[in-house]
Amino acid sequence: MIKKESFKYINDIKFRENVVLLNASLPLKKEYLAKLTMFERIAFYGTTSFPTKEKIIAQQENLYGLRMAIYHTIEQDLININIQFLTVEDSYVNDSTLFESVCSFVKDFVFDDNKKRFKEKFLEHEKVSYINSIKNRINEPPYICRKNMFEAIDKNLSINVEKYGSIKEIKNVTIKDIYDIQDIIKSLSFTCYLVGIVDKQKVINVLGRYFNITNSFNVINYKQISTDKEISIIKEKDVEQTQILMLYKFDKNLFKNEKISLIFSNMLGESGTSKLFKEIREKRGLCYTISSNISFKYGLLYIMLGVNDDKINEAITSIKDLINSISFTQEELKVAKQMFFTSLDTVYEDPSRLLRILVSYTLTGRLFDEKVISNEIKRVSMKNINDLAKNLKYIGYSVVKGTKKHE
Amino acid sequence: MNNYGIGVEEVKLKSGLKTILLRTPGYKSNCACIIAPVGGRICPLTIDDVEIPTGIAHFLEHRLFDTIKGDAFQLLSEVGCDSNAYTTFDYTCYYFSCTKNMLKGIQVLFDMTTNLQFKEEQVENEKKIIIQEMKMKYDEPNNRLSSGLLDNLFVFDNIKKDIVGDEKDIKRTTLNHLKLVFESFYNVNQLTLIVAGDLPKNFVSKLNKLKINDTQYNHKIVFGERKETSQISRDYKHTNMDVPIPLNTLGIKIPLTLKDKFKMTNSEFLALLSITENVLFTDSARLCKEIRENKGSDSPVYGGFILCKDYAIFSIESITKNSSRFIKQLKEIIKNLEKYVSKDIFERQKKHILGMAISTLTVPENVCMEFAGEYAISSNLFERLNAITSIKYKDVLKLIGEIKLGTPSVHIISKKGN
Repeated sequence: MIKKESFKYINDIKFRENVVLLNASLPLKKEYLAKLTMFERIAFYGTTSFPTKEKIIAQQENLYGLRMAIYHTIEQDLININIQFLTVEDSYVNDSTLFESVCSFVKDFVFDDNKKRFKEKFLEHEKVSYINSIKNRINEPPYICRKNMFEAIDKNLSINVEKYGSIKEIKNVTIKDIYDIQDIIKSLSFTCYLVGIVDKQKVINVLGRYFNITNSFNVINYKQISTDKEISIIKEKDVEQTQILMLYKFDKNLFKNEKISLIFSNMLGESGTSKLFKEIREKRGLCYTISSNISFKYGLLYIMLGVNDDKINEAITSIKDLINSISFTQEELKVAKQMFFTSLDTVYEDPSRLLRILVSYTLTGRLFDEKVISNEIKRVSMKNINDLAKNLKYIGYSVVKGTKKHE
Repeated sequence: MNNYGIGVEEVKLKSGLKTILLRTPGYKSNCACIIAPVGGRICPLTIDDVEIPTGIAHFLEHRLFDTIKGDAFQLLSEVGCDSNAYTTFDYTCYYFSCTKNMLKGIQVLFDMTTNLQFKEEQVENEKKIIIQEMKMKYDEPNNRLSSGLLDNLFVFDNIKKDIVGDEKDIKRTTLNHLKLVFESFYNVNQLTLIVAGDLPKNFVSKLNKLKINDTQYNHKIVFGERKETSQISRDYKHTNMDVPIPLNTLGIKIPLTLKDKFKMTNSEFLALLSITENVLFTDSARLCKEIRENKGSDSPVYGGFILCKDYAIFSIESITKNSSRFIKQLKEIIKNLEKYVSKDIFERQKKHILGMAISTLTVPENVCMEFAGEYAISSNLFERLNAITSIKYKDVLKLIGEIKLGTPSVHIISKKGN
C-alpha cells in the first residue's frame, strides 16, 4: 500500500538507475541496537526462496548487480530504519520486469520470517566478524579523538550512543531476538524516497504491492550540543601521526540559516582555497590534511588535522588565533558561492547523492528545491559570514598523540 | 555512441597534445583531466647523470599547482571548477569538474602542466607537508598491508616503494630534481587531455585557441635496473602495528606480458582479469564460503588484482586472529584454484559487471576518471567492457593455471605479542 503523502520522487530521463529508500522510525531504546545490527547482517544468509548466502548474492548478481541493504542510524531520540536498494533501469538491460523482481526480492530479504531462515551458526559467525570490524574502527585515531571529546562534554549525549549497541550486547543476541526485531520492523509503516528514471505510475503500483508506504514524513528536532567547560584532552597512541580534533559551537540564532554556515565552512576549511588550508598547511607546513565541517544536527563546527607530535601546541594556537581574528573578503565569498553552485548542479546528475541530500533535508525539515536553495545562497552576505564567525564559541580540543618513531 | 551512450573521439590539437573527448549528451556537468606519464615506478632513474629521488612524481604533483597566474586551486575555484590531483604507480593526473567555464578551467590545467613556476623555498616548505602525508599513509593498516605485499613480491621494480617516496628521499629532493623530471615527462607530446561532458561540436577548435607551452626539452634519461623475473624478494614479512586484530594477505605477481600468450590485447586481458576476480571472490562462489565455514577466517575475505602498467598482483586478504590457519588454508586453495570457479558463476558475473558499469558510467566525472585510469595503463575502458562478453570460460581456467605457477608471498600486520 502506498499513500501519496508518504512518497517523495525525483525523476530525470538521463538517469540509468533507480535508487529507493524506505524509512521508518523506532524510539531510541538501547536494547534494540545490537539486535538490529545482527538482523541487518544475518538477513544476507538466506530467505525461503534463496536459502543460502551464496544464493542471495547470486540473485543480486543476476539482477544486474542489485545493491541492497538494511541499516539503521540514530537520529536524536529515534532509531531510523532504512531499507535501501539501487537497481539499473529496466530498459538498459532489456528486462521490463527487473524493477518488479527487485522489489519482490528486497521484500523477502527484509520481511521473510520463515522460522527456518535464521540459523545459529551464521549468527555466531556474524557476531565474531562484526566485533572484529568494530574493534578496528574504534582503534582509528579520528574515532578516538571524537569519542573522547563527546564523552568529556557529557557521557549521556545521544551522540555517544553507539549505533551497534555494545560488544557485550552483540555477543548476547539470540535467534529469538532476531525474529523479534524483525517482527517490530514488519509492523512499521514506511516513508519512501525514490530518485531515478522509472515511470511514476509504475513505481506507485509496484512499490505499493510490496511495501507498506503509509507513514508521514517526520521532522527531527535535533538539540544543539552545549557545554560550559573547556575541553583539553591528550591521549597517546602507538602511531606516527598526531591527530587533532578542535570543536566550536555556532551561535544558536545565527546558525538557523544553514546556508550561511555551509558557505562559512567552505571558506574556512573545506577546499584548497580555504583559510585553514592556506594558513596552516601551505604557509606553515604543519599538516597534509586539514578540514572543517559542520554538523547541522548539533550546531557544531569540527576542525580535524594530522600533525607531528612536536607541533600540537603550535597547530592549536595557530588555528585559535586564525579563528579569533578571522575576516573574509568579497572575493572569497564569491568563490565559495561559485563552488556551491557547481556542487548543487552536479548533485542533480547523481541519483545516489541526490537521494542522500533529499533525505537529509527532509529529516531536518528543510525544503529541497534547487531554486529556493540557489536564492538562499545568493542572499548570503559578508555580514552574515562575519557575524557567524565572530560568534563561534570554542569548546576545546581532543588529541591522539602519536608516539611511534618512523622506521 | 557506444553501448553506454557515450561518444569517444581521439584528436591531436595543433600543439601536439593528444586529446580524448568523451561525449555524454544531456549532462550539465563536465570533467577534464591531464595525464602525465610519470608515477611512483619511474624510479630508479638518472636524468643528465643526476640520480632522481623516489617520490619525485608525487612531489611534482604537489607543487605544480603554482602557476604563472597564481595558485591553480584558487584560479580554478574562481571559475567554479572543483579540482584535485593524484599520483599512481604509472602516472599523475590533474583534474577538475564543473558546470560552467570548462575552457577557462582547461586553460589553468594547461598552464600548470606545461610551465614550472615554483622556487626552492616552496620546495623546502612542501617537504614538511609531504612527510605528514607519508606518516598518514604509514598509520593506515590497509595501506601498509598492500605496500608490504608489493615490497615482498618485487625485487627491482619501484612498485615496491611507496608512491610518496621515503623520508630520506623526500628530504633530499631539490628544485633541480623536480625541474629535470618536469622537463623530461611533461612535454606537450607526452601529456594527454581527457574531457567528458555534453561538448559542443566546435569544441576542438575552441581547445586549439587556448595557450599552451609547447617547448620541448631534451635530457639524457637512463632508467635503472627494473627487469623483474618471477623471483620475489621474500615469501614472508611481518609488520608491527597497533591493530586490534591481525591483517593478513597473500599475493602472487603476474606480468601483463602474459596477454601475448593468451593472444589478447591489453583491454581484453584486463577484461579477463576483472571477470576472473569476480568469479573467484564473489560471495556467491565457493572460495569465501569455504574459508568461512572451515574457520579459516572469522571476517570477510577480499581478493582481486592490484594493477599497474606491467603487472597484475593477485591478492587475497582478511583480518583474523588465526593468521597461520588462514594462510595455510589459502595456500591449499591456490593449489586447487580451478575447483573454486564454475561456468554458471562465470556467466552471472557478466551480467553483474554490465549492471555495475551502467550504474557507474553516468556522471561525466566518473566517465572521465574511469577512462583515464585505464588509458594510463594502456587499456581502453569501453573496449574492456565490450570484451567482457567475448571472454571464454576456458580463458579463466587458463589464467588460473598461470596464477598457480607464481610464487606466493605473505604479509601480516599485527601488534607485538599478538
